[in-house]
Amino acid sequence: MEFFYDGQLRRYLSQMIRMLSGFKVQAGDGTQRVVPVLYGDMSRSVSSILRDNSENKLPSAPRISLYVNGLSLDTKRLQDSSYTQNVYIRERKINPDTGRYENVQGQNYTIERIMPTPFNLRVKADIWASNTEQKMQILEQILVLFNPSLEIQTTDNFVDWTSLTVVYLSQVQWSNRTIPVGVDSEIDVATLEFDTPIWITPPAKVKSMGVITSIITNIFTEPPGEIDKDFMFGRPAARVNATPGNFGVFVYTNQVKLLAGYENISHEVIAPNIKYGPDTNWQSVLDIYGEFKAGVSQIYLKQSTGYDVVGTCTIDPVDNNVMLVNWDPDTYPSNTIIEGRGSIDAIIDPFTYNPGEVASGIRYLILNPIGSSKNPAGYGPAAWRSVSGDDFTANANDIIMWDGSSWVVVLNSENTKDTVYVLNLKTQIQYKWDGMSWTKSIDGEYFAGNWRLIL
Amino acid sequence: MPRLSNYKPERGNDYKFIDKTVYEQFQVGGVDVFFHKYIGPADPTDPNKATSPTTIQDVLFLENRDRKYDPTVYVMRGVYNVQDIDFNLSQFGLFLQNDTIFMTVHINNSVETMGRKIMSGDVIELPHLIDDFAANNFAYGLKRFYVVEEINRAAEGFSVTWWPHLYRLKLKPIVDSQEFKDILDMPQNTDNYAGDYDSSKTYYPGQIVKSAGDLYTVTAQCSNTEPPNTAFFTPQDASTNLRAMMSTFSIEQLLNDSVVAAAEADAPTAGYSTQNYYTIALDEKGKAALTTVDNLDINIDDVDFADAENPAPLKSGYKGYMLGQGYPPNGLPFGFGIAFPPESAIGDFYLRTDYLPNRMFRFNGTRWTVFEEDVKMTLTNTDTRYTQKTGFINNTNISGIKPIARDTVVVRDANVFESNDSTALLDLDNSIITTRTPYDVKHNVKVFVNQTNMPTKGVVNNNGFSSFQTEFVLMPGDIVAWTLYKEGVQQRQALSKALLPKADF
Repeated sequence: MEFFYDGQLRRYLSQMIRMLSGFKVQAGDGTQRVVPVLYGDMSRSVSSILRDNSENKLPSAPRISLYVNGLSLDTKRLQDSSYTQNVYIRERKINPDTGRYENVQGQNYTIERIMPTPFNLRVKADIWASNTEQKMQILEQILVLFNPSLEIQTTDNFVDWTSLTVVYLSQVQWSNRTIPVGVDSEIDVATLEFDTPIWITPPAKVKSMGVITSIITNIFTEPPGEIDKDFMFGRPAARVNATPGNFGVFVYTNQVKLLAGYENISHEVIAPNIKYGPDTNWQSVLDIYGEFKAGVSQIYLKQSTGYDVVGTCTIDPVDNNVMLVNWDPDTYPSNTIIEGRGSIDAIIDPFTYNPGEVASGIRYLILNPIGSSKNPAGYGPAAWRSVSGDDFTANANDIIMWDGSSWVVVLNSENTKDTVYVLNLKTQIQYKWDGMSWTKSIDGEYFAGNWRLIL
Repeated sequence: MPRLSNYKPERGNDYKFIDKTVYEQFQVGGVDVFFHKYIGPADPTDPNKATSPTTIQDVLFLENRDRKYDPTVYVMRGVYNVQDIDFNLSQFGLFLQNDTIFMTVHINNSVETMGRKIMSGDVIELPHLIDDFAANNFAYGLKRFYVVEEINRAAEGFSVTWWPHLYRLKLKPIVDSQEFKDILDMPQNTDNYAGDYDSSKTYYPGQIVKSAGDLYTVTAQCSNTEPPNTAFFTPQDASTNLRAMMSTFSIEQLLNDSVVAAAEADAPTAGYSTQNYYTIALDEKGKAALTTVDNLDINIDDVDFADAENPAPLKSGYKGYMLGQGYPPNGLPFGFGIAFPPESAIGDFYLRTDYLPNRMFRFNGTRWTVFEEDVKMTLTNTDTRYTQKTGFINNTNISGIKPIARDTVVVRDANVFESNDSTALLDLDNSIITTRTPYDVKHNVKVFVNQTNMPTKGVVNNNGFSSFQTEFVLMPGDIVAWTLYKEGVQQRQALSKALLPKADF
């Protein structure tokens, strides 16, 4: 078991001493004097120091001494001991140069708290007064505060749910002396007995905030994610699913731009898509969610396979509308196996490309159709005939393969509505067939909810 | 022949012989005892004076608390058994065990020395018990004080004549309490101590007098001139009195203050602090408000501008018990005062200090809406703690009763007033306003300068008219609104005494 101590009982006692401090007594000449309050169970060593190590030093009266009289488990307040509760806190950013808070968002945290244990703390305060009038002066000032209880706090930390408690004045013992006094005259001590329901809590878990913000409704009640302490060393593992402001994103190679709801993009075959509409500054959106860490923060793009393509992000220093992403190839979708292969050898335009003599098994993705079923036999494109001279026809977007004697269609785009991923071995770029067109596998438009940031 | 008898009804020569012998025995074998003579409880009408030793101060509790002592120290000889003592560790620190000693003194000598019989309440000092090495501090020695608890005739003091020669004193160590305040207020060096100030006496340079509990050194010969007149008196530091040397009070108070300071560091105020937290502004649909979505002109050169465009939250993002601090969210700038500024923009914040507790407002374009109240208050029992309950205790306000004159004046370099103005004169150099109302000692005034309450130094008589001086300097252009009341009454009054009859029926 690792050592843990937070001085919780100590704080309760110091707050109770604070509660009883500051009261005054007034002498007949009008001079007032504060009544010191000290812990009542002092050691001989300290007491000797207080007396200047001399029996001649005069103890001062009045005095209040406070000490613990009992500590017991409060079974009436026991609750589910395994219950945990999270609090989500967004800190303001601290300027490292000035050491002061700024008015922008800094780091975000989730505080996980476990059910504390309830105890009842019984404390006695002995009031030593040198005369009856003085005792009444002190008591009148203290007693008026209890109606029936007085609140104290051990901290003003917003996340500390154990800090607030009340102090009940449970008993007043007027004097320790018996009446009549008799031969010996002892000092006169009145005793106030206080009962305080307190909590003793284990430490909390402080994590980076994990709040799902895909659709921002109430950021303080959304279920949390989790982050481990690797985050502190630059590996973000937060589950901050952010689709900020219901934006989509437009992905083109290693660039990502924000896409407002009213914007759209072109869907040209293979050719780069074009985004229509004004660009949006990434910084203005990221400011809402916390500190963006260039080269550390990650973007996740949800694929139809259910898996995410992941990349680490940097805001383009010369154009804040563009996020530059270094994609992780390991997260690309698996290639679709088509008749034994998940790849093509090249993408070609059959109108201009003559395959010549090729090895058996070579595959091409074609951008334009080859031949036509309406052509009379022998009038098809000569470059694509079989060894025996038969014409060959294929549609644009098909994948064709040379089987050693003739070209065959291995992927008929007109009949394929499922998503297909193939890797172009020539460029090592993965392409995706979405039933309509071929695009680079991760390029394109991702609507709100299909992408997220981990800051 | 008369019958033989050691006892005689009168104190004859035998008695005198024995008494002298006993006295001599005390002079030879006794120890010096310094007596601080109790002269009675303080006079309620003049705390510097005592009533009489036989006066009972509190006839209900039957106790004499505010004891006065003769500044003259009386010296006599006494005898007692020195005994070993132990310390008893109590909740209030170390107390002496076996701390009661019984001392015998010569009756006639004590009465001749002190002018009366020793009585309960007299304090003695045993110079032979001075501790020169307390806390290894050789700069001063700690004296040893006892108070006489009881006095009776000692059994061993009866001679063969059956007449007593000795008093037996039951002595207990004193504590630093109200009862012995008069002694402990004395200077550590009592050689020049002249006691409480007495207007009928003449004081000479070098003497030390006490007035209202404070010590003063006389710097010039004077009489009927009361301290703290700096022409004749120099106040002495409180550390020069006997209490500072003898009492544990100062270090106890220091320890108490340290504990309270640590408690204040843990919880400076009631409630919870969220000032270091960030609140996201939400739009009317509860989504994060993004100004930049609609602002198409923002580009890389406008990053700062884009940040500044983030709208201010409509309310704090944190809910809980006593969170209001009177600050806008996210450390945004705000103004403060007792009236809203004339020109404001949406999202501006303004703290109204004329509300109690202070209230933070946010401008929504058409009106100021309450954002939060500063409800956090220190938990320490200070003189300024102002909760609902302590607001009844920490209350030094004075209520003006029945206004009899008022005026509003714009301060100029040279104000000129008409005869029908309530203000007669404005002394800008000294910030003094003189009214045309004949002075009455009961008068009270309330002043606002630029709509802010301005404390004054009270109403004084200026050539027969009520006049007042503001605590802070008036400047040309200030608008001063004053109201003179026939009477001012302390707001804080004991419920048992408030509005008691003040006149005959």
